[in-house]
Amino acid sequence: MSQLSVKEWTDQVIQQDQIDKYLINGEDFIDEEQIYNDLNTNKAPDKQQIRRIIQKSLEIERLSPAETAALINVQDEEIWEEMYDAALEVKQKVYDNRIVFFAPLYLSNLCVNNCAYCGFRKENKDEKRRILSDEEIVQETEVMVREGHKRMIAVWGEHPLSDVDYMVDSMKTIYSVERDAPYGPGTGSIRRININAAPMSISDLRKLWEVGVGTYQVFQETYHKPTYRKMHPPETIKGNYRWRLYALHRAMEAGIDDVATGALFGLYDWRFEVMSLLYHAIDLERQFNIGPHTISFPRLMHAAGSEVAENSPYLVSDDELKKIITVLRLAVPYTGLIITARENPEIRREMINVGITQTDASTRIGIGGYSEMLKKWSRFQEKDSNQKEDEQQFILGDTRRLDEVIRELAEKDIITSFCTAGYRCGRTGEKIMGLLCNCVEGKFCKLNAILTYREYLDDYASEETRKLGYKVLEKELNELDNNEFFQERPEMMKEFYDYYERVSNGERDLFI
Amino acid sequence: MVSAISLSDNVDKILHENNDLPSALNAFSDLVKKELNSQISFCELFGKRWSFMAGSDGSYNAKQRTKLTSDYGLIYEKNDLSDQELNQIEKFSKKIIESNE
Repeated sequence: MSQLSVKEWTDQVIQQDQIDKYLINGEDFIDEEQIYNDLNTNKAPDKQQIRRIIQKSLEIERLSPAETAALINVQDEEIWEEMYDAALEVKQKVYDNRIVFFAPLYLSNLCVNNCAYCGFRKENKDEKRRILSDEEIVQETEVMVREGHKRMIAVWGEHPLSDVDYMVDSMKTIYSVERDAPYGPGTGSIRRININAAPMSISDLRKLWEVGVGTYQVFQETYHKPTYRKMHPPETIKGNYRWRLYALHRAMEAGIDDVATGALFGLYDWRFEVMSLLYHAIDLERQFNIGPHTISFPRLMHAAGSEVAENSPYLVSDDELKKIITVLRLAVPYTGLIITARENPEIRREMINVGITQTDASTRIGIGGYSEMLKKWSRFQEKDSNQKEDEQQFILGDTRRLDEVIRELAEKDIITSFCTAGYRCGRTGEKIMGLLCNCVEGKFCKLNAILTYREYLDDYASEETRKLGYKVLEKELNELDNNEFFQERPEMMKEFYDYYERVSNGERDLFI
Repeated sequence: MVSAISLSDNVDKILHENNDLPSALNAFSDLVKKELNSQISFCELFGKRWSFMAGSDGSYNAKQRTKLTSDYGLIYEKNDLSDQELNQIEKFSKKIIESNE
C-alpha cells in the first residue's frame, strides 16, 4: 500500500497524457448533441423498420446508433413483445441457455471520492470504514468457496491504503485459498477474479494483468456531463470525467483484453445512458477491435445518507429496466449482460427472460460481510439477510443463498455455469469477440456449463437441488446429441464425454 | 507426416520476414495449418490467465495446452498430430519466441 499522504497520492493519480492519446481531434466519444440527434431523428419507427433491425441483431451484428435509437423509441407494446423474444433468442444463440454465477467481495470502503449517491463517499460520517487484512480476506474467500463459488468480483474503494499494490496482494491471497467441499470430493477455490476498481494508469493496470485478473470493470455511472459534474465534485479524482471515460481504453493498452462497462441508471435519462453505452462499445471496437466483455445496469438505490436516490427525477421503473436490458441485448449482441442482487428476486427472474447472461447469489457487500453471514448461519441455522446499512454501498434486494437460486433456475430448466475456461485457454479479447459473433463461444459455454454444474451439484448442492439439477443435466446432454455443431466435431465430443465421466468420478477443473 | 526440414526452413524464413513476435507466430500458425492441417494458437501467460496473442482464432475440435516458457503457452488441436510433429511444433515455437526476446 502507498506510503504517500492522501493528498500526495490523490495528486499523482491522473495522468493527462493517458487521456489525451485516445481523444479524436481533441474530443471524446460522448457527443451529447449527436446522441440527442440520434434519439430525435429516429422517433416513431414503423414496424417493418424495427423488424429489420431485430433481424440484424439475430444475425449477431452490433447495431448502429440510429438503429438503437429507433428501438429505444418504440411505443407499440406489441413490438416490444417481439423485441423481448428476440433478445432472449440472441442471448441463446451467442451464450446458449446458461446463466453464469459469481459473487462480489468488498475489500475496503475507504474512499477519497465524494460521489453524491454513494454510501462510501468520504463525507458520509455514518459509514464505518474498514479495510480487510490478509487473514480476513482468507476468511471471506473461504466462505464464498464453501458456498460453491468459483468466480468472484473484487471491489475496492479508491484510496491510497487500497492502492494497486494492495489489490495485487489481495488477489494473490484470494487465488491461494482452497477449501474442501462439504459434500463431494472436490476442493474449492476461486478460479477467476474479476475486479471493479477505480480508473488507474497503464502501469498500474499492468500490475493487475500480471497477477491474472479476469475482467476489469469500471462503470461511468452517468455519461451525461452536466449530471456527472453535479454528482462527482470536481476536486476529487472521480470528478475527472475523461479519466474515467478512458479507463477501459488504458486497460486494453495494458493488455487486459476483457473489460466491462456500465452505468448507474437513475442519475440521468436512461435513453441517453443506453446510447452512451453503445458509443462506448463502438469506440472500444474502433480503437482495439474488442468491445466490452459485459455491460451492467445497476439502478439507483437507497444508499446510506444519500438524498440523491430519494429525489432523482430519472429513477428507472421495472418496465424501463426491462426495456434497457432488451435494447442493450439487441444493440450489442456479443456482450454479456449482468444483473445483480441489488434487484429483488422477481425482477431478476423477469430479466433473465430478456437476455441476462450473468448474475450473483448469496451476495454480501458489507466489508467482512461473508464472515458475519457464516456466524449467523452457524448460530441459527437459518438464512439471515444480515445487511448493515452503515458498512455497505447500497442495500441488496436479494440475499438468497446460491443453492436456493440455482434450484429455482433448475425448476425452469436453466443450467447454472461456473465456467472459467475462456480466459484460461486463450478465448479472450479479439479471439473471443470472433467466437461470440460467430455463435461458436456459446457451444463451449454449453459444454463447460455442464462440467461445472456437475461439479457444483456433487460438491455443494442440497439434496433437493441436486435431484433437480441432474434432470437439467440429462436434458442438456440430450441436446448435445441432436446438435449439428457437436455432431461435426467428434474429437471434441470424445474429449468432453471423457471429461464428464472423470468429473462424475470426482476429478475437478476439467474444461473444454 | 510433415518433414521437419520443411518446417525448419520455413521457420527461418518466418523469422527473417517478421519483425515482431505476434506476426511471426501468426505466420508459423499458418504454416502448421498448411503443412499439418492442424490449428494452433499462442497465449501470453499471467497467473491463471492464458491470453490470446496469435494464431488460429477458429474453433478447435479438441485441444490441448502446453507451456512453452514461463511467459508463453501453446494451444493445439489434437487431431492426428504425432508426438514427433508436436515436438517439432513446440521446438520451432520456442525458437521463434527466443528469437524475439
